[in-house]
Amino acid sequence: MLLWVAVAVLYVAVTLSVSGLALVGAPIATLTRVALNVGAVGLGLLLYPLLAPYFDRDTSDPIRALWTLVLLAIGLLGAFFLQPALIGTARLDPVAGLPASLGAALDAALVALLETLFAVALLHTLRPLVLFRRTRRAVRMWAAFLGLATLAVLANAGASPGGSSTWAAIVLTVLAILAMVYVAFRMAWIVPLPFRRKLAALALALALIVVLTILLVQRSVGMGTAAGAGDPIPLSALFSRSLSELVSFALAFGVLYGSTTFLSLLFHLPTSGTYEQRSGEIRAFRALAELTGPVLDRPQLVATIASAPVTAGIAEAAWLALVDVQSGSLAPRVVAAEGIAAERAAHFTDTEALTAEVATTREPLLLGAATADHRVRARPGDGVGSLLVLPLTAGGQAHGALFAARAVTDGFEEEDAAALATFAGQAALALSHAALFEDALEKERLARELALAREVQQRLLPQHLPQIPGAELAAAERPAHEVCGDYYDVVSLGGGCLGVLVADVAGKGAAAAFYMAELKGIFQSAAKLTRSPGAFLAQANEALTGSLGRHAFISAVYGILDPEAGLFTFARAGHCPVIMARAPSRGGGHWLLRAGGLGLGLDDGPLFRQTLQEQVVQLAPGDVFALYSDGLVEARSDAGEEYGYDRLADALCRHRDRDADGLLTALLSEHRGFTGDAAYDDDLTLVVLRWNGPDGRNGAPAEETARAAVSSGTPTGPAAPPFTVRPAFAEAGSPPAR
Amino acid sequence: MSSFSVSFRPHDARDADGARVCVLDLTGELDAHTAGEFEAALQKCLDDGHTRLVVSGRELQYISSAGLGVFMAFVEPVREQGGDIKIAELQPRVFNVFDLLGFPLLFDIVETEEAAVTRFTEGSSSAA
Repeated sequence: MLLWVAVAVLYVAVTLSVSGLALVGAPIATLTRVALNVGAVGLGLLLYPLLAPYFDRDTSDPIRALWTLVLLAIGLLGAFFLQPALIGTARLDPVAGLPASLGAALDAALVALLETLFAVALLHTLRPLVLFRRTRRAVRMWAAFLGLATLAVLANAGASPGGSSTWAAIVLTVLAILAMVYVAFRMAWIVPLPFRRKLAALALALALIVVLTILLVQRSVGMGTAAGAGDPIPLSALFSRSLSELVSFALAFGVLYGSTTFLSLLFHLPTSGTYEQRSGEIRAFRALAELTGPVLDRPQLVATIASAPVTAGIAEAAWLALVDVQSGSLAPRVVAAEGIAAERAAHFTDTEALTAEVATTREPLLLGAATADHRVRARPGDGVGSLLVLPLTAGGQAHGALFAARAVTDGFEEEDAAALATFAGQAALALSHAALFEDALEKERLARELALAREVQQRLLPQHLPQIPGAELAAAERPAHEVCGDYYDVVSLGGGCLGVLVADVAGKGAAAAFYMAELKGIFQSAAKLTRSPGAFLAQANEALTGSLGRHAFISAVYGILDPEAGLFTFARAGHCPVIMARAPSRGGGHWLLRAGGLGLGLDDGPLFRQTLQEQVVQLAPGDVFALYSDGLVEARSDAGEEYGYDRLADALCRHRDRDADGLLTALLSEHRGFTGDAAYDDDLTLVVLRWNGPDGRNGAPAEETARAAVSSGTPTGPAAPPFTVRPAFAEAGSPPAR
Repeated sequence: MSSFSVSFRPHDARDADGARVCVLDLTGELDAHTAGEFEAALQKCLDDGHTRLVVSGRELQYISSAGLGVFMAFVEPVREQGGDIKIAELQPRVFNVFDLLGFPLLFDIVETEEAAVTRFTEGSSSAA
């Protein structure tokens, strides 16, 4: 505010002084002239910072800046035209070096003010253009230009209007012009302009040159002049020669900058397309680059890919059609759209045919007149005048296609296609990565689930095997995969009896673990209710049949050891035969005990009960039994040979004298020696049971235990089989009540 | 990796209802990895209306419980459509796996392919 007052006071003071002196008409002292010129230049110097805030806003819009400047220049020109009509020709008193009349003095003061305001506006308008991508040197040169120009005009402060310049002024003027030329060649703002805006800037630069040249001409020979001793002088010079010269500097700079801008724009026009493509690409890539963080979020990724051609200014509408393998269909589907509704986009084109074509050719497909193509269903006016289809292929895998549309026909240039093709390549890669990440995530999730299932399953297996006098137990379980289909359990049935179960769920993985958990529940709750292995298995079959899937069944063998009676009674539901070995001193040998029975879950009718048998072994001290899953006998050596029942039976015989733990270790180590270290194909479970005889009673003679020979079982030893086989259900002939 | 293949061979014979008997030749090892292939073949038979099926195990080296599960899964829908799955020519070791689980009680398991076809043409019912 204070500065504004200072400007006003200064202006009025200079004006009054000039007017007063003009009225007196006497020659004035050089010092007085210097003071007046310094005052007038000070006026300009004060206005420069005062007006700055009004020009700070539009720095980013060169077109608007140029337009404003042209309008202001035309306004000033108008003032020049009006001025002679109002006031008449102003004259210089060549003797006094002052306006010839009071009218001329006031006229000059007014014109000087208008010119000064325009000059300041011009400098402020062009300054942001000059300092676009500012460098320290540019800022310095701009300051040097203004400073040198001011010094140059002040060097003439003592000279009368129309008089010759001082040497100092000429030198400083040359320097100021050098600085001016330097800053006039700073036009970096031109390069990023789109083609159309370049054209507008070109026209405005031309207009600026014309208007400013007219202004300069008018100030030297036309209406902006005052008649002097010889040539006409600028009217404003009547007010202050220095200030007038300062305005001339600004105008000259305006013309020069307009010219360099004009020429530069002219040269840049042909390469504008390339630049636009580059900048389109850059914007598109930037959009992708911004995705590196949330790239793994597929919906966001596809939305960004679809919107990139539109935000890059290449297309008016764009959409993305992707093949979603997980949906089980190979037909691409529009998953994201920008500038158009996805349903409309899907309706407008034969997405499948177009995607298939670009997936085959791997080249962008450019339809200049899209509505004429048989694969485009859009009508003229639907906004799909021209269509660009880009394949999204990465690593040989076709993900789908990116569609870009413009309303006009032939709306895409070659460069657009090239820019978008590059973008599409990157987009396909991003999609690939996102898919890989999703896969990895899914696998990790599955692995975690399986690990959890395995943990649960491990807890389902008995942590401690119950001990009963006279018998020893040892068990091992080794899964082929994280989750195993094998299960074993041992439970005390009371009365000294022990129930031993080994089962194998068909199939593997989490489902097998669930069935195993179910079997555990059934075993723990139902086993204690009966001393008949057949009755338990029949119960388990009924309970499981409802819940097992079509594919699934369970093989199981369940034995009950009764130490009081010295009996081991078991039933087999489709499971591998129990292998038994007996010491030669007790009528030894080994047997595959194979009582009849269907797998659990195979039959939900009476057949299961009808065919189920129980096998009763009269125990002799030193008897050993192996209960195992098929993984043990079906395991193969490197040569592809199966381990088989015979090897297991043979090993059982040879290690018969070890305690249960030693026997288990020996059997497993022989098994491992045979199969090698290859990964297990199947789950493997082995439970060994050793009968030492109850305390105080060291077993009955072998002859007594070896009773009737029965057809079932495979006696491979020399002695008669020491067991009996009987139907599990006495009424097996007729269907039992259910 | 275990190798397995199924080939499909229409037989000249027709059963009492005039339905054509089809033979599925299994080759290699039918386990958890390859069960899906067998499953797909049986599903295709069902889709094509072939329900008089003879599965020949002449070249079948091994079968796991997962492979047996496929038989269990399909025997019901096949029988519901008036057909059956008969199993023939199993090698002893493979037959033992079927036998342990009690499959002979549920399926017609016969020595030769011709015997299986004859069971269809002579209209003998399934074992179960």
